[in-house]
This record gives sequence, structure tokens and C-alpha cells, in this order.
Amino acid sequence: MNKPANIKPDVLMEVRDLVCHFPVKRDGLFGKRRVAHAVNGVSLDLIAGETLGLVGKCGCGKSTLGLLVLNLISPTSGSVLFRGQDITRTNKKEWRRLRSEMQLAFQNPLGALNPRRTIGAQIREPLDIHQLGDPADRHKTVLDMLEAVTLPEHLLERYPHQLSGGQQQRAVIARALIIGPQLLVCDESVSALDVSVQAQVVNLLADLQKKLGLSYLFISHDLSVVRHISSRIAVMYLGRLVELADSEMLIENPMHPYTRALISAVPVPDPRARTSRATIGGEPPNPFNPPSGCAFYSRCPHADDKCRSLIPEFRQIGPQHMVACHHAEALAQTS
Amino acid sequence: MSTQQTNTAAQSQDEPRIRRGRTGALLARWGLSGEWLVTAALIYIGFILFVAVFGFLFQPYPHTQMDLFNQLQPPVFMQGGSWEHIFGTDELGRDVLSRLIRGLRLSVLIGVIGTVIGAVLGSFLGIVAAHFRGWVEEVLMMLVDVQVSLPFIIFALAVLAFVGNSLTILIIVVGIDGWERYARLARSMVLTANQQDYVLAVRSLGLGNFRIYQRHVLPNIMGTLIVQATINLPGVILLESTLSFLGLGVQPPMTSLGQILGVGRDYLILAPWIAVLPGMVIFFLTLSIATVGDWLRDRLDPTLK
Repeated sequence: MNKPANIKPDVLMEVRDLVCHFPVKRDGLFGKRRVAHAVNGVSLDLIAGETLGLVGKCGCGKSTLGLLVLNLISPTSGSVLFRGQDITRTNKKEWRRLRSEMQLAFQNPLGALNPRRTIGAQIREPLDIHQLGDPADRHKTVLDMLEAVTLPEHLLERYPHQLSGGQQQRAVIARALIIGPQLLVCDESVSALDVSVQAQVVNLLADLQKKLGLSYLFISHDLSVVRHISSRIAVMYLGRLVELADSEMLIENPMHPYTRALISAVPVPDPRARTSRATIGGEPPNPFNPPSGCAFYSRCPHADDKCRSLIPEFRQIGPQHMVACHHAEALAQTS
Repeated sequence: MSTQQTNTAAQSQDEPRIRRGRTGALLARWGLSGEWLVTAALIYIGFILFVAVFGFLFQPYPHTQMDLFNQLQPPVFMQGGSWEHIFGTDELGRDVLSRLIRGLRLSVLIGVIGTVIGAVLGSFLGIVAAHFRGWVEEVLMMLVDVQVSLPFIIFALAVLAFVGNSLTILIIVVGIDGWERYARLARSMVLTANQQDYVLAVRSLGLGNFRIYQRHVLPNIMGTLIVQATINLPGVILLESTLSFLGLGVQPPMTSLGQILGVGRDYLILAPWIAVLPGMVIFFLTLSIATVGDWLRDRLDPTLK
């Protein structure tokens, strides 16, 4: 096998062995202080101009990973390199400057907009914060941005609750993009919208990417949306990456049993389609007390003693295809 | 004819209701149409404020002027009353109307300043607690619990008995009353607001803490705090009345509504007007402020428009 992972096209961001633990309340008065393992050793690269989809079930740590990548919370260990610079250890000034390089689009657009400020004031706010241009310039920039996200100008004076969900999300995107970031983390950005509006916003994101050369980290639990927009997809399970591959490859040829279950759970818009579903039973293990070996072994149909005791390495298995499973090769032949 | 009709049609599209007079339009602009109780309350509060500020211009007698030949004269609307003393005289022959005007002024002054002190102090401490968390929050919330578990009137009596009595001290004491309510309210609302995505959003845009509180958190919790203040204001006025009634509040020759009420209690059977009139002024004032506060809460919420 050749090792294409070493030939790196412009890597915008490198995440290395990122770990984030949250201390949570004790068991009783004198019990042990418990720790939630939200992100448990994640490494991935984000290439400039690409969209990396991040899928996984609720509570698997994908949103935490998004916040870590933006350095909105601090990791327990590990590093995030943005253009080669470690952003987990920055001083206040650098951190502020980085805000104009990376931004976040939220799941619930109404919650992400201040209910007491007009849309115009909120889209303009990043420019005011970073003192970009004089007031007249700022107004013009706002109008340009508004056009870019296809919002009509008369909405500037409106309040967030007077807009539709799709308009709100476009306003949130406009606010995030107005200072010209390189990276936009979309945390479930379209999950709260209707399917038709979802499509509009996803297409808008794709257009903006082409126009502005943005990179997206697109976090979602909805594999069908992620598939549509992403060039590569990473699958997360209980704080770890279990599989990372080009999106078509991941959909067509999933290696990890969890990915397979996820993909077969995507509804097919054909009532007569009879697919053999790789369903899984049970619940994900408790993040306070992750299992000793492979996090997935308790629900995996292929698990054996090795899985129970040894944490599988996240390894290269094909060109641009990484997986964390002891039996990936064997499984690849069975399917 | 037809143009007229289209005109009316266009008008009714803009304004769903039928044409109002000038007053009606003014009421509508303030969101008051149909809110007769609120309108009456606002008018009453306006009148009280006017009397408090400019009442001394219409004061018929100095409020301390005694007339021992005219003690306990009933007001004009009772049998034996005269226009000389419209609201009658008290046990020393002092004009009740003049005393009401003077007393009102001090009561309103103490009520407003006291409320502002409590609101600013309490909200500030609440925000500090919510911002720093940790031991700062625990200490402040413990103080709140101490304040809640202590009957305030005992606290006020103790302070006034030990520190002595002056108008400044009285205002500070009644101002401290209720700080813990603002503190709790502000703390919990700031904690909620800090969890909101819009605060996270502006934080991730690089906005500093001070600006976040000034521009995003405070405007969103201000409405509730103002309503809390309007709920608290009657309490402050009543507290001052209570303290004056107990003889620990405003000292003669100064006078306040509570003090007039307290002295008038002794003559309740013989000369009910001395106590009843200031009592009614306080009652309607607190009722009006509470009514307006309730209305204000709805007005201040843009999502309810």
C-alpha cells in the first residue's frame, strides 16, 4: 500500500490526540469525582477548501470536538494546529485574532441571535468588534454579505423572531462569515430546519465555499445531509473516531461495523426497497465509564476477546481510508 | 364616494381598528388602548409624582403650623368640616392636606432612591456571582440566604437603633431591603443567558466580557429586573411607612405618609381621616405601581409585540 496520508495538500488544521474530559459531580457526598470522557483521543486533518463531515450519535462528543477545534473550550490534552500554530495555548490577543479565522454556525439559529437586537446590528457586530473599516464601509460589507446569503435588504431592521427559520440560519451564517474566516464549524446547522429549507441552506453553504474558498467542519447526526455536502466523512463513537474516508467510499464501502449500522439506518426513499439492515441493539456505553477495549464491542456482532481487552488503533486501511477496528480486513471480505 | 371608500379600505389595512380621536391615537401609540386600569394607574402615579415635586407650591399651610383652637377638625366632606382645612386637621390642629403633601414627598423620595439602591446593588452582586462562579458565588449566595432568613424589619430596627437615625441612614436601610431578590434573579438570569447560543456566538466572535454583559446580557435581563423593581417599590414605601409607624423612621419635624399614619392610629375612632387619608394614598400608589409593573413586563418583551 502506498501511503497517501504523508502527501499533504494544504492542511488547514491538524488535530492531534485531542482529549477532553469534563469533571462532573461526585457520587454522593464523599464519592469519587466522576469524569465524562467527551473526546477521547481524536486525530484528524482538515484540508483547506474541503468539507469534512463529522457524524455520530447524540452524546458521542462531536459538538465538543467542534468547540475544541474553535478553541472555545480548552482540551485536557492534545493539540490543535491551525496553519501549523498550536491554538490551544494562545494568549488573549492571538486568541482574539483567531476569532476572525474560524467561526461557528449553530444548530438553533433563533437561539444564536440576540432577541433584542436587529438582524442588521447583529450581522454587523463582528466588524464592530474587530474594528474593520469605517462605519460606511461596514454598512456596505453588511449589504454585500446579505446578498451573498440571499437575504432581502429590508430584513436588516427586523428582529430575529420576525424571520423564518431559514432566514435566521442565513443571518447566522452571514454573521459568522462577515469577517472572512477560513474555517466554519457548522454544528448541526441544518438539523432544525425543514427538509426543503435544509436543501437551500446546504446549497448556499456549497456556493459560499466555492466563492470564498472556505473549509467546513460539518457536524451532524444526519448522514444523508453530510453525504451531500462533504468531501470526506469522519464517524465518531463515544469520543473516538471509528472511521474516516472519502464520502463516497465511506458510504459505498464502510469498514467499521458501527458505520455500517449507521448507513443502513438511513431511510431509503423507495417503499419497495428491501435492504438487509445491519441493525445494532442496545445503548452506547456510559461515557463516565468507557469500556476497557473497543468502545463498540458490547454492541458489535463481530466482537471477540481481542476487542474486549485491546483498544483498536485508528489505522490506515486503504487509500484515504482510516478505521479503528481489529477485524476491518476480515469484514471487508465478508461484505 | 368610491375614492372615499378606497381610502377607508387602505386605512383599515394599516390600522385594523376604526378611527379614534386624538386621545385614542395617543393611547394606541403607548399600547394602552383598552388598558383602562393601567391608564388610570399611570395617571395616578403621574399625579402623585407631580404633587411630590411641585406640591409645596399649593400647600395651604406650613406642615408644622399648629392651631390649637382647631384640633381634630373633620375634612370638608364630613359633617362639621370647612373649606379652611379641606382634609381637616390633626390632634395639634395641623392641616392634614399640607402634611400629606409634605409626607408624600419624603415617602416617594425614600421609595425611589431606596429601590434604585437595592436594584443596582443586588443586580450587580448577582451578575458578579454568576460571572465568577466558584467561591465568589458561594459567599454571595450565602449572604443572600442570611438576608432571606433574617426578618428584615428586625435587621432595620437593629441598624437604626445602633447607628442612630438620619434620613441618609434610613434610605440606605430601606434600600438594602430586597437586594437579595435582585441578586438571586440577576444571578439565575445571567447563568441562563451565558448558556444561550447568542452569548456563545458573540464570545466566539471575540467580544470582551464587559461588552457582552453591556450589549447582550443586560438588555435581555433588564425587563425582568425592572419589573422586579416595580414589585419591590411598593414594598420599600411600605417598609418606610412601617418603620415610621414604629417611630424609627422619619423623625419630626420631617414627616412621611407612614409617620402620619402611625400618629393618626391613636385617633382612629375620634378622627379617622388622619390615618385613613395617607393610608389610601399609599394603598393606591402601591397598587398602581404594581399594575404598571405588570404592564411594563409585557411591553418590554419584544417577542410579545
